[in-house]
Amino acid sequence: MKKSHFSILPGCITKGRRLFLVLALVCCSLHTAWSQQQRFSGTYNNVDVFHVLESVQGKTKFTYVYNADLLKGKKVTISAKNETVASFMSRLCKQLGLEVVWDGDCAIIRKKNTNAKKIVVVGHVTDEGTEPLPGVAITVMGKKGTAVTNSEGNYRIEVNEQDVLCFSFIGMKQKKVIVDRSNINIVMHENVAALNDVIVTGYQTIDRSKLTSAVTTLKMDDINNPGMNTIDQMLEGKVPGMIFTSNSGQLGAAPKLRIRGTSTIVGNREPLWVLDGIVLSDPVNVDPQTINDPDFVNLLGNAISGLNPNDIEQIDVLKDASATALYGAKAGNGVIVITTKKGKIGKPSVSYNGSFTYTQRPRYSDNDIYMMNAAERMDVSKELIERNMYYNNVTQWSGYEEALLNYYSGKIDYQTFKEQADYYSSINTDWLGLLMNDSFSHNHTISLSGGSPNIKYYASLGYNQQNGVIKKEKNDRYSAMLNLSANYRKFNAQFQLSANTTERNYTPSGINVMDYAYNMSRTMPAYNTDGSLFYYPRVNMYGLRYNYNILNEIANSGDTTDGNAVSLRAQMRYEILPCLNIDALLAYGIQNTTHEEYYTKDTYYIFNLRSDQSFRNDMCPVGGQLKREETRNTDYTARLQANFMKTLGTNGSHLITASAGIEAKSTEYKGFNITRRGYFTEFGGYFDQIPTDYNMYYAQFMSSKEGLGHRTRLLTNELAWYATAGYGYKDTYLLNVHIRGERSNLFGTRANEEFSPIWALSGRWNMKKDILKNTTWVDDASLRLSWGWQGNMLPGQTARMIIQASQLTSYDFNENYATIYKYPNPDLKWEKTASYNAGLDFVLLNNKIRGTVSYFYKHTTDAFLTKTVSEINGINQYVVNGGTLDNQGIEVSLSFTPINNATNVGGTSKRGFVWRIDPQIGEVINKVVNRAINNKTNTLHDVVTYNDYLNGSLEFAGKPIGTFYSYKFKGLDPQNGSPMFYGTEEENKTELMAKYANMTKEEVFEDVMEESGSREPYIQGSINNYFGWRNFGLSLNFTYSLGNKIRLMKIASGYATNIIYPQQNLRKEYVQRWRRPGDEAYTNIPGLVVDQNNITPWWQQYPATAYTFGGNIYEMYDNSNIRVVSGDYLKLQSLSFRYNFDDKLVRKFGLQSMYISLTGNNLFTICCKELKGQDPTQNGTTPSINLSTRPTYTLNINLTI
Amino acid sequence: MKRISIYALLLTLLFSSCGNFLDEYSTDQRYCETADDLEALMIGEGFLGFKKGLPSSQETMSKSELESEANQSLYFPWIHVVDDDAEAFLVDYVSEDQGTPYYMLNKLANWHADPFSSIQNIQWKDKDWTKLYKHIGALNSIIYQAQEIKGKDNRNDKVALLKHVNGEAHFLRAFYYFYLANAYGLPYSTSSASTDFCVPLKVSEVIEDKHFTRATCEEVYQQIWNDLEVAESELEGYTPDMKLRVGIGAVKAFKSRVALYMERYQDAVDAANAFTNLNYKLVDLKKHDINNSFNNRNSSEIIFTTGTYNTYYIFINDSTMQWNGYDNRASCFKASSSLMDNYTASDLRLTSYFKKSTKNKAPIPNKYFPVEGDGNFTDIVSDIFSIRYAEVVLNKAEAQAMLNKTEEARSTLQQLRDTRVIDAKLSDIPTDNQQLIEFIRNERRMELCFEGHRWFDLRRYSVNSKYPLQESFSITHPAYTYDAVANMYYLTGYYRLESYKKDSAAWVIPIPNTTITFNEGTLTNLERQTRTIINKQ
Repeated sequence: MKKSHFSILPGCITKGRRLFLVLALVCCSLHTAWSQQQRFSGTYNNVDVFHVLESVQGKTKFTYVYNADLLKGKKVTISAKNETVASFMSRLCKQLGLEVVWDGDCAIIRKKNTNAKKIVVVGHVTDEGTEPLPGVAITVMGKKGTAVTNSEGNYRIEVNEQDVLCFSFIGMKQKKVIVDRSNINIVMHENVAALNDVIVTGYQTIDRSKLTSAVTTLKMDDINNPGMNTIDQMLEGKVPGMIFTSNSGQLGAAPKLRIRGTSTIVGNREPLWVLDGIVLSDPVNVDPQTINDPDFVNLLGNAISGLNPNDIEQIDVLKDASATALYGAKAGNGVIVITTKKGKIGKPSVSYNGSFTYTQRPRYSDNDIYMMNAAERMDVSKELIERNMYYNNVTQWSGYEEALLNYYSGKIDYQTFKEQADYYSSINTDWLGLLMNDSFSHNHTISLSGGSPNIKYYASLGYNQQNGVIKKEKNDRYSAMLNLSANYRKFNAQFQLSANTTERNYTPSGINVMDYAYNMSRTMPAYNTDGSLFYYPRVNMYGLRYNYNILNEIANSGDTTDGNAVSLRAQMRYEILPCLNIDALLAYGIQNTTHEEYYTKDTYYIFNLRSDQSFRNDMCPVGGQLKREETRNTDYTARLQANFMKTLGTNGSHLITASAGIEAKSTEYKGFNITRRGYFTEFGGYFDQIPTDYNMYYAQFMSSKEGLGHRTRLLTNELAWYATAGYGYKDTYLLNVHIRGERSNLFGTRANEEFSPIWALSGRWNMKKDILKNTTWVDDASLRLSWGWQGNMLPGQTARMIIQASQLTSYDFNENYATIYKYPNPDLKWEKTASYNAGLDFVLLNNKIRGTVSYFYKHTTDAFLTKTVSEINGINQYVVNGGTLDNQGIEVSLSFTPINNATNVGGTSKRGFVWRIDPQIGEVINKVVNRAINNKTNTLHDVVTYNDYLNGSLEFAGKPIGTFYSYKFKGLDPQNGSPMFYGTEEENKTELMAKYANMTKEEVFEDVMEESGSREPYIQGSINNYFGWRNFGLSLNFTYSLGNKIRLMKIASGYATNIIYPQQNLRKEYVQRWRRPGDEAYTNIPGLVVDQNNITPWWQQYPATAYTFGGNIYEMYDNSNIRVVSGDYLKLQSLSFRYNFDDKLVRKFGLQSMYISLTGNNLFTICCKELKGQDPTQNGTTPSINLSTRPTYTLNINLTI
Repeated sequence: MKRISIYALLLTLLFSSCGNFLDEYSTDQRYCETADDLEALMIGEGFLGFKKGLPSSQETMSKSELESEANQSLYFPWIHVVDDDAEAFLVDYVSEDQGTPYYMLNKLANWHADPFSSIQNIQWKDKDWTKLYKHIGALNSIIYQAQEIKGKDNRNDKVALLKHVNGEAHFLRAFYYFYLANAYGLPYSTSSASTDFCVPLKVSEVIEDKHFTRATCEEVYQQIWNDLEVAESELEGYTPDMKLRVGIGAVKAFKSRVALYMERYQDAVDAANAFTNLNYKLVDLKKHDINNSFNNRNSSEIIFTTGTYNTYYIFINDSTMQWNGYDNRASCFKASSSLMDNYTASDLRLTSYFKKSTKNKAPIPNKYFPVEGDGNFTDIVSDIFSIRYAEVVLNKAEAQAMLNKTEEARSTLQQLRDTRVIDAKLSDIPTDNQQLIEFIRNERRMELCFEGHRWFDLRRYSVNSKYPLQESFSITHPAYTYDAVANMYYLTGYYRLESYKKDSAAWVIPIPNTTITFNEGTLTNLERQTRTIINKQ
């Protein structure tokens, strides 16, 4: 075939035939055919012909097919000077007496077949595992004949000698053979490269070299950490631009992920999870406000909690608008696409992966527990009593205090008192040990994988048992997955069945075990000397005494969440034309979640409900209480998509791609919630009858919604269409457009009335193929740019009034009633985010440095804000388009391989030393750029309280989200050691009152407080190091986070109240407290409370109440600037040592491969030393103490048969 | 091409078969579109709720209880303690951080500068303001929606329902503005109503993001009057089955009250005269069984009631629960001696309207109490937001007297006294016009005590153009100090509220601070003086 065949000028060939040729050539290989036009220079003197071909191939880019017999031993002398490959090759072949025929980039070198004989070729096609391959398409290059292998993998075709047979099969490398005999057996190889370097967006699979958007792709093999049980935990520091925050180390607590900052104030900020193209839903629907609250500990589980990480192949994090546009409005916070493992061609192989994890509990001796021991605590009691200090309302004397008071009042003599005091000081009860334990967890996955090119399968079964360090906390997960994929000629089908069941056990959060363990005085015994439980008195609101012991409470209560989920997915692809295929996808998933919380009659909770135990007031006269919440989540997705891809033009240098589809998605949550009293756990649990005499409050409870039980239902249907179109020129310039429109059934969403503006434009410039072609130190370089718009709407905002019907009949009116759900909001517009992305990918210095640098800028306008309006309207909050938010940042992801002796140690197969280091850095700077609603100060709300300033829940113009304020600590009062603050001085009270009276509340707050920083870090990243030698591998993974500020744990208020109860333990910092005048020079830890006036300071009294800027001085102390420290940390997230058993040894056992690894997670953290043991994940703003992230040690065994 | 058209056909089938896929769906939300929706909304948002239950201790008013915006919370609990009908009732000691009526309301009762704060100076937010405006906001929407819906459904029962709901909404809006105006605004004075400030007036359904200003008394009362006239025409001839709903009786009765406040006496008489055709009658106390409460929903006197019975939570018996210490203990309020001294021995109201506390025999208002064993308080009547027939009679008598129809006024009043006092004689009622007015005012005080009238009436009398209250008029409340050693309260002096002319700021309840701050200067309060204990009464 000559060059002229590509010409579109009329020639000697008929029009129809020419068109056919063009199609056949271009469509069977979508690669462009311009490499034969590449020019090169070179001189070869009596060189082996193979060497010439290799050399030319190295200088240009083409492949060739030949018959080895023809070329063996032939030497040539030839030179070229800026000659095209095509011309050079034809000269070369002429010298050898052969001919060259081009098929795209492929040169076919063969005998001149001037009068070729007809020949019948038969043969057998197999895969690498010698399994026959049915359905392999066989074409004859440049001719009409085709054939297909039968079910035994055999074929028969009639061709001419020296014709080229082309064997192709989806998922396999295409193979071309020159016909020189009548029996040609073929072994086809899996196209591994095709699977390896692709981006999966859920709607498309994109070759990395054609990617125009910002996507971080992670291979599960690289991030899998056997000590972690869900994938979200494994993402920490791995995705530049994603901020990972975990606020509790409690078992099953889901971390918060923020991809490229926060671009909404009122709406949901969590990313979207997608599994094999299907958007996942959370098992239980939680409102965005709760999820967005930085102090909310999510133990409910999220969309991926049931997924076994061992079933995952790849994770693609879609970050910019062009990557997420196809997902629509819900993807505004980024998308995390999970691809599960598919079978690999070959004989069946069975793998077992087992991991055994040991988690260390907190100990008083640890750095991170900074609490008093018994002696230190008793010293506080002594000081309190000796200094005759103020005890607030103590009705619960016990322990040392009780003994001392008894002694003072003469009830016991000194000897008895001494004995008791010695006893209490010697107890040193190990509350942490009593309530927590070092836990052991294990995880097993067994999987089967294999297949032929026609059908591949992957099946797995996993069992995961996790035990929490807090006693009784346990999570069990059983998971199963089956993936089948079939290829046959024009079909490709995939089926997936996955199921999981989870069981989570906790102690009800109302008992708050963690908080109790921290704050319980170690002078209080847990057991009496005879081994029975030690009870101390607590009173209920009616003054009745209750004997309390936490172990008894824990034993008599429980909190269990059971979940079952099954999902089915089928995908079919049919090739209508070589350049056009249709893809249909159908998925159905169901999740049942049952949450039960119970308290038996022997708990303080029930005791409180019983109030004075009279017929009138007793709310739980018999037994305990069971609360049951059932949620059933059903999802289905149906999608139909057409894909088109074609090259056009001379040499096929124009590539056109297009996809369009429609999608219907439905998510339904159905629930039933009920609270029942009279519950007994015996005999598997039953309810006893409650006498009808309890006709007052109990009867009222029974007629309430929760007592009667109520059903909930939430149905979200969505119909969307989407399209993308792309154009590429010579693989060098690429341009893409994405667009999506959607409608939903959400009640009162304006999405029904207006088109949602979601679209994106993106492009790529492969510089290596253009200006950097001759720059030798650059192996590859490309630039990506994207720009997109995304819109967002809140449900329930309409131009018409929405009412909410009650599900109860009004008792007095004996009629159903309704309340106003939303007043009309006719002026509300879409919240819009424009996002820009620029990224540079490069590979330098012979693959030693690889990396990506990106810059992004997201600009949200008309962001929804809840604005306060005058309550004279009847409501005081209203959603307006008020905010403007900016997020920008730089992401750097690098991979260095300074030493790589993986393959070349003295010609042996043994691996030499390898060192790889991958630093990642992601910076996200987030700023509210709004013009303030309130002009005098910067806040974006109208009515604010000082708590909003302290806990960072306000948005301030020009400042990042999460900015919080603190009081300015002045020092300790020399008289009584109580803390003092600038701008609140008692002695200047009158002046201050006069000053503040003329200021707005916000001005007063900003005067009394100072800005402390933001709660959200702005730089996060990681440094991964890998060292390999022979069969050993060591990886060290550091993660770091910079830029946020945290409050130290409370020492004087809240859970750590300064109004000390006999049972209250204190932070060790309190040892350094102020005790006598003069101490204020050495310490800033306040003294014990001496004056009740401190509890109600002047700013809580009239007329200062108009601008009250704080609670009592101890609350202010905990919220002061000296209690704010930097939250920066560097953490050794994991240290892993792995040994791959030697192949020979492994084979002896009949195995294919085997390795063991030992991993330590969260081994140490370097952080601000003022934290005094507080973990950077813990924050003093939380209402109760959360467990810090715990160190874990895991042994992992993996073997494949 | 053929293939593609098959796919297209399949697609069309797929999506047309589920045509309601995108219909808006919600289990319990809907657009407000029918008269039934408005009716449901009226019950849910228009009326006040009922807090039910009897107190078992003195701690009936925690800060959170008072700050509750729930429908089933207390409304205007302070209204009973600011006038001269109530005074402190203190026995034994309750710690000061507890929410007893005395600790929470004493700053209000004694006209302090910062009235909404506890005895420990801890502020609590006045939510009555917010709650009433919330109801008004809902009523504004109902009135607007009723206009929109009108004529869309012509079934007779729906047309009637819409008329009734619309009438009720207008009535309730007037009713709530009346309470707001009298609590937070200046009293209506015929001479200066066009300039005296009242409360902000909002009658449109649109949410306005603006700073509100106070309307004048004239504007607010005019709005009330207009609303009542609409209600009158919509509810003409309609008397509902239950006392919780508004009928023509309630409109007429309330109109007579408003007319009296506006000194439109003839209108007051006219409105009261409408009752000749309505089936309400006075309860004859001579035949009343005091084991049943005087005020209840089955009473022939009650015309309309909404909201809860606050008295329980303010005037508490001194023995609520013996074993938990609440026996012979009180930290609340009782009826004042200045009120009790007015009743003669032959006045049956003494036993029907009051009870004696168990331990100290202090007079406790007792107009309503539930029937034995009725845990649901099925016949509960509000002690503030109620209208009963006796008031209509008194309104009429007062209006007639003001119109110098002395004889007519005397005979009107005699109708009432005849059912209240044994051997009531017409000759007991003075014939001098001014004395008659005094007599009627006193009769009104005795009859309508603890029903939310006295405080408003005193304000009204203060600015009355014909017989204003004397400038020397004052209210004194005894002030006590606790002595821990003796566990006794000692009378240490008195708080005094001077007449409206001298002490006007204390006669107006301040608008909540948050509202004042929010509106940035467009709303203001009168400055209240600090009040100290004086020695003599």
